[in-house]
Amino acid sequence: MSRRAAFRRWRRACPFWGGFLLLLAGIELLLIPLSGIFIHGAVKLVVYIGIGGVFGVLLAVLSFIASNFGGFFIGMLLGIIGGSMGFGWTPSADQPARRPPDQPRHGGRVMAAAVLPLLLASSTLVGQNAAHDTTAQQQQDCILWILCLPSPAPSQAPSPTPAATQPASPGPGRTPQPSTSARSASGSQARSKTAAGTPGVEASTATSVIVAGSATLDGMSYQGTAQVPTAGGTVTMMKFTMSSLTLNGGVRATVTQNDQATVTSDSSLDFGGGVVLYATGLSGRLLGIPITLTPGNAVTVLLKLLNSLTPLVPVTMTNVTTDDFLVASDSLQANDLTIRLGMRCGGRQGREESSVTSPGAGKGRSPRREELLREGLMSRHQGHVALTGLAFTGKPVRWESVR
Amino acid sequence: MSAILMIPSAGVGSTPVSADNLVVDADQLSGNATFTNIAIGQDAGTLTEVPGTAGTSGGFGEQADTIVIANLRQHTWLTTAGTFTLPGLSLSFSRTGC
Repeated sequence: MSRRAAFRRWRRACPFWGGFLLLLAGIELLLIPLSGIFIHGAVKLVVYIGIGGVFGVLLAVLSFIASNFGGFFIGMLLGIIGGSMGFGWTPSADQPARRPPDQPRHGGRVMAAAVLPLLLASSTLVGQNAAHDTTAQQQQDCILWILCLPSPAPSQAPSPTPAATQPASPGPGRTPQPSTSARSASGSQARSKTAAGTPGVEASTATSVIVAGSATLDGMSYQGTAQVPTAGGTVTMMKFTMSSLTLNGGVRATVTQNDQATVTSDSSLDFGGGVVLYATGLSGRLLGIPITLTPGNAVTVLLKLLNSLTPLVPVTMTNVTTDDFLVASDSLQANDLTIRLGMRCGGRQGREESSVTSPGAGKGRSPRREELLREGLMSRHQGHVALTGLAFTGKPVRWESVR
Repeated sequence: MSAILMIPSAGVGSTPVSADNLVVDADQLSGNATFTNIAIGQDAGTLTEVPGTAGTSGGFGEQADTIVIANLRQHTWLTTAGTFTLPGLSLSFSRTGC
């Protein structure tokens, strides 16, 4: 047997051309940046080879935003075509056991291989237009179309379509006031009512930011931009839904209003069950790649396109910053929670506390208390408040002696 | 002029202290907390969990149906409640602190 024949045999035993194009895509994506994104490209190349066609296509599309516009389209297109070929590949006639003998050689999967890149490319282009157009319903159909393509690949099983027409039904005994609807919605179908719909909850106008060493988002789905009402008019925010959200590593939420900061720090925050997160900005590193999400930017448009796929993969980001957040969930576990009021940027909280408890505070207390009340920082609990291991430390209540 | 501390204590044995419609005015709080049905970042003027108690419009608010805090420590200025049940209450005074 000649070497050439052996090569041909090997070539037919695997999705050669699909793999070859994916390899080219990887090399191209890797060569273009040459510097900072080098590692990113290498990771992607390995992933291409390892996972195969469908993921190859998805990653190629992702490379559009992650790596110099998909290596100026060339790498992205190579990846899409190559991944599709890999996906559409069937063993050749040398191994007849894997295909019914009467089926024509170039059957439906070849068609799928041809249609898939076209649809992906068109949806990407539509996605680009959507950066200027806030009605994002069309792309949703596009991505669902792709998913509904007749295909034997297991990863292409029809994803659960959100029942978007179901209206919010407040739980029993809960009055359907606007401010509670976000929470009642979080447990019901209504949270799949997206983008165009007003969430019905009023957001604070205070400046708030959460930073965390890492964030793990399970079942994450970007629902598009939402017009969230505040006391000072509506604000455009991104809306995410998750089955759970875990923040770790120096979690710190800072709320600034009236020139005063309230800092909440935790060793970890676990949001569970029907997590709904609104934010005006979200940034961090995904697989080491810095990404920034703002309402309507290219990354969020892509996330919206892929929002029926993203829930399938848990996402872990590092060095996460979330701006102007509004979050609701069925449960929250806050470990080593500490809430401090009046800590300014210089970290003078110790001085401030001692100054208000110093002698003469009887006079100063009242305005201080008014300030606290104004800040809206009173704890509010209803029903069962279980406080275990309660301890009053420091100087809880102090009276000046009357003499 | 010297400061005198008043140290109330209650909640003996298996009978816990209880209160309803509790309002705690604190500038520092710590513990391990578990919330259910929580909303964070809501306009403080639109809070509904405690009837008749809300913050100023536009403020940063947070509310939950239930909260369990283990090892709570808080630095409070004011605590009020509709009803306080303080089994085994004792009051003591001290010049030296806790």
